[in-house]
Amino acid sequence: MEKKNTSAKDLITKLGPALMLVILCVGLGIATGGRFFAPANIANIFRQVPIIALMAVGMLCVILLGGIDLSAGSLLAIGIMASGVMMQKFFSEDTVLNAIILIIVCLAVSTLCGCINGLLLTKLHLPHPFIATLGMKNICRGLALLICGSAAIAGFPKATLVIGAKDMFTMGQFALPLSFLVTLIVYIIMHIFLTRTPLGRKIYSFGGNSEAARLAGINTDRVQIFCYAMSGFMCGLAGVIYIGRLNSAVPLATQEGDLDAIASCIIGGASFNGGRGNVWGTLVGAFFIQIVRNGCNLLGVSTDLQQIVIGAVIVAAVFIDVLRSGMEAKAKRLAVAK
Amino acid sequence: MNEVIMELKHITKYFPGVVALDDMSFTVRKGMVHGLIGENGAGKSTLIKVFTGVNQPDKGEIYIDGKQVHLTDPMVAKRAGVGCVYQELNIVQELNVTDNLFINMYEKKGAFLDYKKMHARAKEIMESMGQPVDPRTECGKLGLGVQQTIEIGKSILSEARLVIMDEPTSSLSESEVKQLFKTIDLLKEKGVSIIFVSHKLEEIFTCCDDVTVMRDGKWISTTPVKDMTKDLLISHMVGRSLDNLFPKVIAKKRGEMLRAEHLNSAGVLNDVSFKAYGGQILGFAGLVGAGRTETMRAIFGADVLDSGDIYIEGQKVTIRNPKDAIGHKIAFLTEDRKKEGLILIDSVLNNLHLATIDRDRKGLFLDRSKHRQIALENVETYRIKTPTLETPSGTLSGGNQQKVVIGKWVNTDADIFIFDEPTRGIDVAAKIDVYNVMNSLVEQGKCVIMVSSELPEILGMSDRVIVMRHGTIMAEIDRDSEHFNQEDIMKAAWGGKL
Repeated sequence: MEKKNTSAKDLITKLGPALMLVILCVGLGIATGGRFFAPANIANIFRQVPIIALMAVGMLCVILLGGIDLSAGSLLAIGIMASGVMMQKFFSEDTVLNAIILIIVCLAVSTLCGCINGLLLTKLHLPHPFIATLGMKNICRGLALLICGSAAIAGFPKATLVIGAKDMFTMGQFALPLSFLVTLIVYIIMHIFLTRTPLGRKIYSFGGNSEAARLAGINTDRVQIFCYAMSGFMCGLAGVIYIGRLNSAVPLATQEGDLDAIASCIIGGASFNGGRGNVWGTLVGAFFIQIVRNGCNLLGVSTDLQQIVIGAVIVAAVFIDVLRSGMEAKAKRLAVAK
Repeated sequence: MNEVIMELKHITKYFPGVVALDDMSFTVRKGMVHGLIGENGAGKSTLIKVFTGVNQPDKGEIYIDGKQVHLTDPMVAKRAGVGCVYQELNIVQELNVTDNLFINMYEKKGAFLDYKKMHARAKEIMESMGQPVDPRTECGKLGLGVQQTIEIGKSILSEARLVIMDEPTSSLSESEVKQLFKTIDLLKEKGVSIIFVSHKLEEIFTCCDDVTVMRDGKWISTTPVKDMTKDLLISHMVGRSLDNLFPKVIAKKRGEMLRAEHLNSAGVLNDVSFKAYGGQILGFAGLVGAGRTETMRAIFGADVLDSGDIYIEGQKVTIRNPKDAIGHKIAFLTEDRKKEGLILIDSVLNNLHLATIDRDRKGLFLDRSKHRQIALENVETYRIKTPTLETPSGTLSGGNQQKVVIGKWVNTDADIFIFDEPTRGIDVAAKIDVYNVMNSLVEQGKCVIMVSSELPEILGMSDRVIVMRHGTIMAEIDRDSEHFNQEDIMKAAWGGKL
């Protein structure tokens, strides 16, 4: 028995979603008469993608379990508002230490709320993560509005804004934002985590067959709680970037964030049944959604129409993937027949 | 000879990496029960799927009443008169008998369902198969045997001339099996043909007129059952003769490894106490639902007990979950490998190290080369037939899947192995491989507990047998005892005193 070789066909399978992304970009390039490929626009996309991409990679952990986190957008909101209120009350002075404290607050609050999702699911034995996270979606959004009196908070210490606002190097109008580099590093870490560590293996195992995983001695409650907390943490990190990008914390931030994150995972080839999916597909999925938005803006499509387009794109992207895997299975059969 | 109603000629079917059917032919005659037997992976399921229009052959022809047909999808096959009862029943437990029978075939009066007519017809169909039930009964309240009859009834309702039964007895009790055979006789009288797929040789001899043996996707033989012997059938199936179905090895009995005391679980277990020793296979016999699986699940921490103590090598232990049990070197091969044993979408490699994820690591990371090396050894030792280690375990045949689960548990280096129905639904050759694993475990001085509903297996492999009924231990019989025979074990299982 040999180690499986990565053949050209396998590569195409793995690059399926990426291929669709390329087609989308070329299409938009033509439709916008090249404006899409303008350095300033590309830089813009790199600035916009990290928030959704980070939420999506947290969501991926949950989706790999066969679960769902409807509260992601609200977890981001509660994180940034908690940080904002702390800033107003205690840490308004513009020092690096305060900035670090505020970032930690944002991360910690979102992670904690994510952790509560996991605890509700495993300890209260709520029947489906839909319920626990739907509850938390409303609770966290409500709390986010409550603690700040429904008003946006600005005036964060400068160092807090760095991750979200700083560009690493600029070349003419093109720039590579720090937030995108952070996202890439997070993705690499998550890739290694999911594929090379025991806990990552357990996440896939739970998603593939939770009962078999439990009977194999895996502490399935702990695995689940970890994943929901991870989703929260990634929302918190996305929140830090959000603060930097907008220079303020807004309680109604990323209201469709959870659904965008879910869509990114699914477009990227993750299975709703759990056990299948990878980070790179998810990153492509996040780009996909962000680029559709960006393209709509360039083409002057109104926000209401944009929503329709995005809905159609999600369905179409997944459908194309279904077609593609169907054709692939057939090709494999025919190859044997020969 | 009865007239031919359906014929498959030179059917060939490819799947990724395998030839599932290779020039396979099969003739169905009116009103005859035709047994179909072969090892797992022999291509029986694929052949059934060709009959039912689920799979289309890549080569070959299908004839019905002498005319060539193309069964392009399941509805076409259904209309052509092919019905199938799958191993796993498709009964909606919450609906009543009539609703299940008429699912998607409703009788209507105007825009509404004509329940009067449907109930009457349902009653008639069930009676004609020897299972008189009130058609208004919710199916969940009926036994599996009756539910299966409803499944057969669906075929009758759609006027099937051929009913395929895929391992119809695998989850039935003995009395239910007897009733099934009566139903089959009634169907025969009506001129319905039956293809009876089974792993159990006795059943083929009891109820079939002809038997066809398949191996590696190929036709091997078709013989009238009256001219067939068990030995010949087995040699056709495995391609070699098997001298002994149960290669029992008597190992040296060691000390007490596991002791259960007064296990209680309301309505399930009633004061269950027993001891298991190293170097021995302890068999657990009893009828389905006697509490054997529940006892094992409780010991393994998969279910919670009301009370009771467990001792390992004389030390009292607390087992709250499977993780604790594995920590105490217990392994548990569950009876349902697909639901509880395997991650079907995951690779053979990952399944083999599912229970040892935490153990084989390099610092923070999985030790993938070690996993791979162990898996390669497993594949060799247990003769797991798989194209690669990356192949999803769900695509393997039943016997090979079972060997993957066994490999997973042996890899944990456990001392106490609980095997719940270890050979259910797997072929003869794979069974012998499983028995040999058990032999090698007891030879290493380990303790094996085997729950089995097949008495020949219990008698063939156990050093000692415990018989359970209604959550209570009825009898404990040593291999050298006068009671160590089929009759006495059945007697105890039915509540008799020895």
